[in-house]
Amino acid sequence: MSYAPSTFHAGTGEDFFRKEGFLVDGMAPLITARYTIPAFDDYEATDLTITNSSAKAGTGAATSWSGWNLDAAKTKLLAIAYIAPSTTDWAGIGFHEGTLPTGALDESYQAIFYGNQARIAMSEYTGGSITDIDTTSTIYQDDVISSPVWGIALYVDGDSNLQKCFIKSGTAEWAEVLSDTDSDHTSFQSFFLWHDEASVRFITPIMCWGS
Amino acid sequence: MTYHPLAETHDTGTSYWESLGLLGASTGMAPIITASTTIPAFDGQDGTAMTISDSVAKATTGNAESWAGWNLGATYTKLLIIAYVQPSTGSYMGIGAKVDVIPVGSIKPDAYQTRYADAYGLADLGKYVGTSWTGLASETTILQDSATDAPVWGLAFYLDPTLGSEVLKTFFKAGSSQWFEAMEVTGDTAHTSFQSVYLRHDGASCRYITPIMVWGA
Repeated sequence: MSYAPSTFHAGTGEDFFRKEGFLVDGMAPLITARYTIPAFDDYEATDLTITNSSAKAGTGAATSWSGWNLDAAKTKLLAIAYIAPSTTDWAGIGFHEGTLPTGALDESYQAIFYGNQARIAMSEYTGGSITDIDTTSTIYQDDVISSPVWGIALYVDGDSNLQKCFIKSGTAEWAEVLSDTDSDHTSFQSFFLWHDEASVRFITPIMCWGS
Repeated sequence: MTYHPLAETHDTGTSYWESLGLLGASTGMAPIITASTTIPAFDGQDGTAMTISDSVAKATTGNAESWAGWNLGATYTKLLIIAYVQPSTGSYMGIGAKVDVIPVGSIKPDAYQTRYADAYGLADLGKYVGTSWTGLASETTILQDSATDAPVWGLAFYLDPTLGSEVLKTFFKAGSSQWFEAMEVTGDTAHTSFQSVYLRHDGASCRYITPIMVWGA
């Protein structure tokens, strides 16, 4: 397994996720956006515009995703991204069962900052319908232009039916805020950034490890 | 070129700037001001007084158009400036580069400047030609709040207005994510060399906090 230099761990949480047992030997880096975000493989509705370390949405309000296909189906995945919400209602990250779909998401897990609903949620799409699997309103990222950038991480383990959401606010350590044991999706072939525009930015580090 | 320990490069953005080709051996950029833990004494200031206490330069409570800055000791055509800012209740906080050495009185004649300006609902990048301000770019979808409980944000300004390069860029850092580009201006060559840099503010107990760095070539 490859690790980034120590200077970078503060942002990616590699040290934290390894110590907590979520990033284990065998999980290879699949998406490694340290300074520059790689071109997306596909998008739905409105694509994000990449400028080096940020991917910025347009000013509309369309439910949109931009994402990357993984090299093969994975059962265990950990992904992180940082988000500056501007005035977006919601933004987050997720794993899709198949490769990136044509159109809307239909079989997936995602972790979302819902600034407009004052909460954070993990949810799943099954057959194109979305259902929350865990949510908290005790901590959330506000959806205003002066909101600081927060990190969000999603861990899924299809072998153990485990889903977890972590957040990072400021220079504190990553913190687990949501957990569930859903069994509807057990392998994944793509990773996506999900939002409803309003000038939201996804900022590096954006990482995805899997096995 | 001198590098900070690895643990600090994420805040200064050294590795990021190198990845973009703004720093690194091929650029000729060298550190001019290196305020890693302690801010060096200013060569001059005007308006509301700013006092240095180790890693912090804090303005007093007055509310006036102000600056505090350093001479670079030579003339540079390319600069990268970074600073971290906490506005308290100030209307704006920024950084800039001036064609001449630090003046007595107003900073305005002939400079490029970028700032967070929540009081005006934007962040901006612009220039003084003579004492007249011209805005060259603005950003209204993300900016630091002017409030006593606002988190500290980073602000960086890259200037390479030499004919052929002709680029000015503003970067933000808002939390533990990477620096990211917020504004870019190309084609402006009003000023092509610089002898001083400055912190731009309007008092109101605002603070500049290390790391504060200036690289130049």
